[in-house]
Amino acid sequence: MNPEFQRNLWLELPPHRMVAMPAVLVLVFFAAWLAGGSLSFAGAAQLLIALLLIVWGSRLAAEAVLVEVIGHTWDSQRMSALGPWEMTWGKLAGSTAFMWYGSIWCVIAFVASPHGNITLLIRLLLAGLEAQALALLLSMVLIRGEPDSLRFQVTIAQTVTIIVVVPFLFFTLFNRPDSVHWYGFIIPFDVFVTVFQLAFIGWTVLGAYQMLRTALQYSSGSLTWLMFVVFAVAFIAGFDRLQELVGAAGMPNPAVTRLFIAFGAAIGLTYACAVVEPKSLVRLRQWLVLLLGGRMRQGEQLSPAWFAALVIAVILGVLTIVNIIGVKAPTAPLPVGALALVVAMMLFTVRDLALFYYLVLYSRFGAGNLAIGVYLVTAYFLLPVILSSARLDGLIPILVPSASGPPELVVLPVFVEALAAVGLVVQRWRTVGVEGLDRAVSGH
Amino acid sequence: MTNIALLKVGRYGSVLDEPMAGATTVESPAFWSRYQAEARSLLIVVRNLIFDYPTKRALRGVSFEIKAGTITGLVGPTGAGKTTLLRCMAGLDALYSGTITVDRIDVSEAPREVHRRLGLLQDDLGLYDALTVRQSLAYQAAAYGIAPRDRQRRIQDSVNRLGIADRLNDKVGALSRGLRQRLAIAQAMLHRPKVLLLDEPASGLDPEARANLSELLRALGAEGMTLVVSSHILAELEDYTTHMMILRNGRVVEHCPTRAPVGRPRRLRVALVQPSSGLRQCLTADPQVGGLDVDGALARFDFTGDTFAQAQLLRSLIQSGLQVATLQEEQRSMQSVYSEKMRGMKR
Repeated sequence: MNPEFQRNLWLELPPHRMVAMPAVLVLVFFAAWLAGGSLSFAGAAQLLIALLLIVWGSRLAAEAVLVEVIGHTWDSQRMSALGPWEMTWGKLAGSTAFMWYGSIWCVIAFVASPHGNITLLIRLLLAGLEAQALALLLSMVLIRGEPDSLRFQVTIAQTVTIIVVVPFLFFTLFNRPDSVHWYGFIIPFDVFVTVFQLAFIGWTVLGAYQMLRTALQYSSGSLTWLMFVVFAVAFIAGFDRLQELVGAAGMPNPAVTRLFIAFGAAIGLTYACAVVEPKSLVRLRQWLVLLLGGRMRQGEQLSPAWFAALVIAVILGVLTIVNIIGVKAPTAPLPVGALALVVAMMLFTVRDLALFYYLVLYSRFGAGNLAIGVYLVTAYFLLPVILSSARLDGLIPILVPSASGPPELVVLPVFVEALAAVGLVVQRWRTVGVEGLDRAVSGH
Repeated sequence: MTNIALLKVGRYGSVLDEPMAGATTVESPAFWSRYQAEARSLLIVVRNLIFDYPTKRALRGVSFEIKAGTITGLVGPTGAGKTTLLRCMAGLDALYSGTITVDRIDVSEAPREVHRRLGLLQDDLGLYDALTVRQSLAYQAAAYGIAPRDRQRRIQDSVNRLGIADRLNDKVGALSRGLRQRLAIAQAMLHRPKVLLLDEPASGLDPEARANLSELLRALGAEGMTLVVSSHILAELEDYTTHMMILRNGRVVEHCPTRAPVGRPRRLRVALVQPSSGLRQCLTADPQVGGLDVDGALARFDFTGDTFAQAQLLRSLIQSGLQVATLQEEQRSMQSVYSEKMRGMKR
């Protein structure tokens, strides 16, 4: 048996727990039956599955690695002969074994109830697996930043997981359209959601595997991450409904609109990665030293996740621009607004990434991520609201990418800002980066 | 000679090969055979190691070599970089620059290969309190890839050796610090590593447990295991170490044997009842005496002879009419070497 799974079973499923769980569940079911008959009985089973697998299970999955770090056993695991796949499923299935054990009793009760619905049951079980895989992945991402409070990171991973999974579950259970229009195909809603859930589980498990692979010091490139970015971008761009929503961007035809949506999705992923991923000065320094030294293969292993997303975003942005110009009829005017929007989005991204790193380099850890949050809220929410309240809506394109403003106002200010932000980073790097640190060490 | 010098500082992969084609071999085959044997006996080789924390350079160009079968005491003030160095040697943290090879394997290139040859005991032990001793060892044996047919035997050997065979069914959380320490060592050596790194192994132990630990480490060293032990308790290290490495402010400031190797001069000290001019004269006349330092009734010198020659020297001093109070080998304790180095660094 997988040693990691075995160890987790020893810890999670001692005999007294195996007796206690069904005893408590039987009491809950009995109380539910007394309160409202078989309907409440089935409802209690559903609710318990959700609580056990999503709420409690995500907590246990998030703790799977973090308790090892807290208990100082993680280094020993990293030095062991366990492979990343053994570690991934050993931790995922092992740490949550008690919850799955409890869920089996709930599933039996649910199926036995006359109100049991198999589609609902499958949706719940898949959501549980989604939540646990996502919590494990998030906890692995969070510990890369070597945070001070590891327990707090467990809470963050669990909270984010619940915020992602529970609304999705509610939406897919209680607001069920008949079908989904995706790349022109009309797909039954239940089929689409089930396939989506399976894909989500597949990618999150693969993500956790990659993170564990890196932690166990196997050499791992960014191919998996790159494939995920391409998948996510292609998936999002497939929703036909989004084409109507971004119609105001002034793209010349549906194909270019879809390309633009893909570009926007890649930009979104770039931001998500840049905000979520811990930004380590040491790691950044090592990455740049490897890249500048021409050691691309080793450098690739240290590259931040936003980098691959940004590369895809730039490729899609350029393709969008080329297509906007290419599909224009010879006599038609150039859709300057659409072009300015794409260029501005790229410049805003460069500016913000540079400022994120400036803040991290400035604060040398600690308050860096908080400062980024404050900056994003101020730049994209507070200032536009203030301008709008002051009836200065015409200036909003300076702050937020827009297709409707004058192109020079959309592009030029952010171009200058991006240059200034990159300049700030370079200046800061000279103080605290490789050169700065070397100077400090050598005493010059 | 230039080629040889270049090879000496190069990677040991090169050193172990025959001299490079085209190189002028000015040394005899015996030299190469001796040199290669010496290179093979170097189990750990660290070159220009630099390691950074976000706001601090923890290791600044550290270089040293550790021979197979030695026990090195790693000492230095708090924050000197001892734990960081051990973690780098164990391949747990990525280096900023430099190289570490363990058993001729580059730690940065193949950390997992190095892990198979290395055991690490950290200060905080890292045990699963909710498991029993038997479960902990069974997990460790399986996780470290010990074949199922060998596991039970290895576990039994380890617990017998560490004196915890009667605790197999106890919960780890219920063990005393000394027993936990033994369990952690049993876990770290279950896969029979060539190198065992121990970070502050004696911290929190009572005197009896410390004595047991010293005895165990001495026994492991005698069996040929290479140990690197970080500790603040120098007197204890003195019991079992063969070498001492002093780390200060991220640099190695001393790396030396703790005992004079066979064939090297010993430092002797002779004390007279009262000063006499004949003392210098008598000692200078003996060809086995060097590095003489006379201060009144006291003289210190390097002596190349064995204990019989030492007895002969004592006889000749007495026969010269000198009133000898004592003649003894001067032991420089680790504490005195450490204190001297630290004082030297402060000046």
